[in-house]
Amino acid sequence: MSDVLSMNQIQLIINDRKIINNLSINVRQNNAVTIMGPNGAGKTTLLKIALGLVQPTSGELYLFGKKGIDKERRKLLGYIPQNLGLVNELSVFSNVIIGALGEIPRWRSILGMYPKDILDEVYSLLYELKISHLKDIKVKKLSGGEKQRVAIARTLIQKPSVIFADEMIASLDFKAAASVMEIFTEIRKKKGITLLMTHHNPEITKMYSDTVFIMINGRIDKKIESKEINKETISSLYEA
Amino acid sequence: MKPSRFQYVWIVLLLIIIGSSVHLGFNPLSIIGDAQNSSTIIQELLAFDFSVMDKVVFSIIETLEMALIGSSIGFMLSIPAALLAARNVSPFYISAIFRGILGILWSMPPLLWAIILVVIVGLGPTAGIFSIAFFIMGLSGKYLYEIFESQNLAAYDTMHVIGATRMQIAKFVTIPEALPYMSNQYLFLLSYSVRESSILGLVGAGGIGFYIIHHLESLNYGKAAPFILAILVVTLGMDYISTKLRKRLVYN
Repeated sequence: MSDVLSMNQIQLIINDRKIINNLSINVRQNNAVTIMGPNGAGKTTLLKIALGLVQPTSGELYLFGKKGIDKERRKLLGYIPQNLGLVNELSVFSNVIIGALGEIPRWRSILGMYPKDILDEVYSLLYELKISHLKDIKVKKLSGGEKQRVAIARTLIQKPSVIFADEMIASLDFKAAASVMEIFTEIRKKKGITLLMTHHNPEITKMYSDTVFIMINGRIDKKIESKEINKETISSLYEA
Repeated sequence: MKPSRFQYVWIVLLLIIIGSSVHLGFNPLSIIGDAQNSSTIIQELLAFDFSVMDKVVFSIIETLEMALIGSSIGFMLSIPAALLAARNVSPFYISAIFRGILGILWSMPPLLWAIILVVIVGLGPTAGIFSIAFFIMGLSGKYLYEIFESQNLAAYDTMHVIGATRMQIAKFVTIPEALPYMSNQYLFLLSYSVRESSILGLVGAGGIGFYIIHHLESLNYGKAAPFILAILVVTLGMDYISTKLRKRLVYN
């Protein structure tokens, strides 16, 4: 299997501070990769560099085997940011359709005249994620777990090849997080999507990741198989 | 003990206030010195002459209509102007131009706009409506672009990754996220405009102010009194209704 994402010797220096320090990472197709590390390690910045939202000071980035990020390849990237980036005042339906804006002609999206095939996809995703009944509810009225599902649906409708999920399950207890990850993983595997996520939960990592990268002070400290992860490994990491 | 920097600032400010009062010949005790004059005017004002009630009703309705039309036009225009002025929605050079326009509209008070507009469009409520609309557009536009710029960054990041256009970002993120504040703001501006509209008649731009200045200049204080009372009742009433509605909006 080929690498969907490859970063070599990436550096990001802001005000003489090395936010990302000679970081190199490879992510293989269809893999579920978790990046773990203490707060301030640079996990969110790493995702933003991979998405082209932040320009590194130096280093090379390869996406689907080609150098750099262009508009066409960016379309294949899905992003679930910290706090999910949902629009609280819009309904679940509108939040999900946002993910398809790149595929809808501009004037049709402004007038709210969405193509039938996109509407069918929205309804089918809402059904798969078990949130069809919430379609017309404003996002601000949903629970944490329901919001995660809306964010996942918004990302999946983009038909991404890779999803970057930043602290997606941070606000959930273990049961709710596992329930969201269970559905997400099932759909992800069915659609052959690569997942790169950050969070702090070792149990979730063990259950839903293939590979774990430990990140400290802006660089990858080590790469381990998720089955090797245990509470002790993680607590020593956060105490370091 | 040496005064702190903070105390120095207060001392300098106090000296400036005293200096300005001396410069203008301002004497706070003059209000007591003219007590007899004041009490005569108050007595005459309290002798309400209700023969002008038909004009009171007509002019207060005109004032309310001016405020409603002017603030609504100003508010509606302020939305696209604020989108163009917001740095997270518009390119830098466009936002700089629209910030300048909104700054000019806002910095001139409605009464000053009315003086200019009476010359351009003539005496009457049309000048008053434009004055309110221009000022409200500036005031509301400035407030709105600050709200737009302080919005949830994560939603914008997602839109950039999706490849959404500026128009799509405005429709799906910027405006919906600001909607509760915007409704709240419109109600506040409407109540504020009623207050402003009531004085535009002083310069012939329509509304109840015209009758007040007319009767005061003719020394008919008894006839001016019902108009002044009407302003008090309507502005307090508008304030009460607007506060109640805004509270409901916040809780919903």
